[in-house]
Amino acid sequence: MVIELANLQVLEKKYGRATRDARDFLRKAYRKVDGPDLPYLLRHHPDDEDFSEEAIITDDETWLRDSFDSLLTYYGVLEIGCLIGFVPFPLPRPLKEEALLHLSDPAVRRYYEEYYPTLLPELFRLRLVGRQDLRETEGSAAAALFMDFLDISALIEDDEDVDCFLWLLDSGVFYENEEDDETAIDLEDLLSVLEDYDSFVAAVACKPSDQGYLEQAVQGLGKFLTFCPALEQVLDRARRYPYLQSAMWHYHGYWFGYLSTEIGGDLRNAVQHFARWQSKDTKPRERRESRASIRQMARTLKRLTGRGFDRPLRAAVRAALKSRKPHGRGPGSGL
Amino acid sequence: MQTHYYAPELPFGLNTCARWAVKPADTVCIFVHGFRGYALETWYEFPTILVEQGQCAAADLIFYGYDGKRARANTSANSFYDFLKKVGSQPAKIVNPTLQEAATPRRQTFKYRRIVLVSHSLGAVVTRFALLWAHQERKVWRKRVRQVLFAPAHKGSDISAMCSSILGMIKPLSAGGVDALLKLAYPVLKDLYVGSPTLKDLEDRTLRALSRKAKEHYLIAHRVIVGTDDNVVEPLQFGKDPLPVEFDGKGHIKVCKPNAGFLDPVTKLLEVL
Repeated sequence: MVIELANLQVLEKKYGRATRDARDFLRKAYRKVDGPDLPYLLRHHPDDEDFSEEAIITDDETWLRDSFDSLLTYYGVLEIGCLIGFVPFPLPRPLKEEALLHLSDPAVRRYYEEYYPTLLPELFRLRLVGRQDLRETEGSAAAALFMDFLDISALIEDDEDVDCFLWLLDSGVFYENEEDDETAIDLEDLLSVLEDYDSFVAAVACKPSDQGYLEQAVQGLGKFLTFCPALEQVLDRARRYPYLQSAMWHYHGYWFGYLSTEIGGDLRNAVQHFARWQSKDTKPRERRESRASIRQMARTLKRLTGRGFDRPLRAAVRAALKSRKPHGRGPGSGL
Repeated sequence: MQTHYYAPELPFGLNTCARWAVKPADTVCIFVHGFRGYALETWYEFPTILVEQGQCAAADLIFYGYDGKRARANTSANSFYDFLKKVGSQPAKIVNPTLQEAATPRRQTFKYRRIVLVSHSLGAVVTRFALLWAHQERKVWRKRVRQVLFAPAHKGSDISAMCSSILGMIKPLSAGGVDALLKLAYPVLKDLYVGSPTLKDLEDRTLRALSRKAKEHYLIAHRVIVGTDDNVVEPLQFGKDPLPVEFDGKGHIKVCKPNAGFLDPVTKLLEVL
């Protein structure tokens, strides 16, 4: 129990900091009659460009919503921790009560179930109310794998370059000059850099102090593509634990789910653009190695954006929602 | 049964992380990645396999990270040396602040019986410089150090081959492209070409520090491991190091990445614990 408690404390320390604003907001929203409007803050932001003024998310709201995302990430991590017995279960009462209060809030639920569907918070809520009790605690490898997974995930978390790349991939646009919204950088520009040898080398060789959004996005793509095979390896090593494997994929599920749609075609497209050029001095052996490594990367992206890793946990949620009886010692209410 | 505590963020280097032994530890293995590597990602299944090994139940594992692109080897070695001094002389000051309240803290006086530096590629240059300074300053703990080197870049490397792994894929660049990267993006490569003044200085000083008869010494690697398919580093003998052990069919990147079907890197490390 001591180790599990230490694990819980380290997770709280690692993930808790970024959740502070969301927790404060929730506290205020619950206490005051005229407190902040939670459903408004967690409103849906439509993908198309035809949205009303009201749907526009301000910068301040973006920071707060980021904190809500961090809170949901934290609860997702705790769900994986419970799944493999990495943290104590039942959880300490105050933590359990607070998590259940947050995850059961209709506005928060809509946010993670409908607007930006992520499975782990939902599974965690179902666990807290006693509607599911998945466990994969056999052997000592699960904890070690989970630690590796958390450290490898840090490769792309809180990284400005990666954020820059994902923003472009998410149909985002950057304006180089705030006063001039005529000159914008989008995904097409990134693809052009990748397919042109000179532009690519210039972007990679650019000093950090001279980097603009495009150069940062190229660096971010590099980090993302370093992360993908590392994640795939951790998932492969977790094959003995199908729920853990699926849960670790779902931790990044928003992006990989998103990448499985047409935007994933853009990422694979980026790799293909990169594959187009060859420098003149390339030897035949290097050319073969290059082709093989690009094929391997394409395979990795295809696997990560496929549905294979998604299924076990999704099936578990479905089963939990169908079941009427609560498992174990949960209160069995609140659904 | 979990044998190690999780310590994701150590306030040293870049993304340095650790696995602290639950049992009182008498050994520490410090893993140091190479050019453009990452603290943990470079080592693949090492941490998972090691924590499953009985021999490692009393060993702390540290995955040290640093800027393996821009910072020159000496600069990285300097930071690493600062860290190593703390590990050698006051390890409780490193371990205890990153242990959680629920875990039992280490005694303030505890010391490691063995400090194993496991390095890859450029990491070998970084650790070797740090050890030279420990030698120069006659640090007491230096005699407890052992080195295990995977594909060390201490005799130089093919810079263009080093640059060819890009965006997670292999893409050889022209000489001009390599030159641009060398000057602007990866200044550390100036330390790594065959015959560079940095590497020459490293070997000269190492040899000067060793007596003629020295065989077992912290400046002499215990194990040097290279892959037969490594076309990046010069596989020549450095100083008084033993002849390299060859891993068949492994290239520069995979030589230090064990998995269920390739446990040789772990075996070699366990031999020196």
